[in-house]
Amino acid sequence: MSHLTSSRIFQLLDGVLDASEKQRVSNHLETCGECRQELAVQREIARSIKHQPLVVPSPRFTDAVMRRALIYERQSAFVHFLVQHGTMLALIIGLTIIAFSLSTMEGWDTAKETIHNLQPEKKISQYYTVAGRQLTDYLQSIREKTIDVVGWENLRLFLLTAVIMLTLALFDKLVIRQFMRTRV
Amino acid sequence: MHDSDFEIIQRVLAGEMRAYAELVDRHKDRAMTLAMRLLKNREDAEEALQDAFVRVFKALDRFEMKASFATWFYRIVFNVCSSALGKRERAYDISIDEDNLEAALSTPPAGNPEIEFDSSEFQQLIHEEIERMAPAYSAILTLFFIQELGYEEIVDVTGLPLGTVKNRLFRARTMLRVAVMNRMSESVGAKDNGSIKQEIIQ
Repeated sequence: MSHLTSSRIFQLLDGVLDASEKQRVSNHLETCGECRQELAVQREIARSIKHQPLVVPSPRFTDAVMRRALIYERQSAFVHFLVQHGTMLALIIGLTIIAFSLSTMEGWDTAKETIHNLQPEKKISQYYTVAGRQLTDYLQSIREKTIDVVGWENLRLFLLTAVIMLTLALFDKLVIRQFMRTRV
Repeated sequence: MHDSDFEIIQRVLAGEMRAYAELVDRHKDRAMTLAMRLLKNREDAEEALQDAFVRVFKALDRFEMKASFATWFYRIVFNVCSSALGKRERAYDISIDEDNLEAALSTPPAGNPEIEFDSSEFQQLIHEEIERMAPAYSAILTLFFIQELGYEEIVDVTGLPLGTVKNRLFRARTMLRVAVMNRMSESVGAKDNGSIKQEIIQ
């Protein structure tokens, strides 16, 4: 007769076996001294883990936490708002600047006219296609130096770069870190 | 009679800030034990735990009273400690522990005299083995036995898949079993190293 696996013994100790399985394991234990011995060892190990002394933080721990909590409590509502919603606010501002930057490009009015004349169900995908094309053309123009990058154009380039970087940073903070928590 | 966690939270939210100290005192030792298991360093663990408690305080008004406070609280502690661990040891790898496990399994039983389960020697042995484990295992072991969380709650706290949680718990217990086996006389050990190793491989 084969012995109970460690896994089965753990399940018995943890109380996660269903009634019929528990009965089968109990029947086996009645006739198998080795498995009873193993169960006893595992039970004692579990008991020992539970009775390990807890690690106590330093005596001033609670005071230190309360001091920091008090500092937070005394901050103004505006600071709380910035701390809690600052990244979202920055993201909205960033996207607004991108939209503004795109809408001031040459040819935008033509693109809008094109979109206006499209069938309603095609508008959304076409909108992003046109916006993407505009952005690519713009970056291409800068690379080929066919547009003047001094003055407003230069500022727009700076803003666009800054906004893209900001958006990526915020995306990392808001989305990636939420889903890719450091695993241990 | 002491207030429940929920009652203390409601007092804090009602403006009685000192009540938060009660909540900190109630949970700090168990949480510190978890932080130590993860970070293996007292100073780092205490600093991370402070951060965690302050985060909990800031987020108290967003805590849903229907949820389990323990799960929510330990999720924050676990995340803060994991981030601290990530910053400190970018190169941390689970395989470190696999090596330890293999080494433990390949060590033949020492054939020492029987250990009394109630003896301080047995307690010390378990303590040393838990200390030696990689955070990935000792943390799960602590959440299960000290924080007394179920599998699903540990999944919620750690964000790990259920299978990984069960597997790490199994391996952690097996490491302890091997350590005990190495100290016990051969007559006490019901199984030999080979059979346990076989189970792990399977």
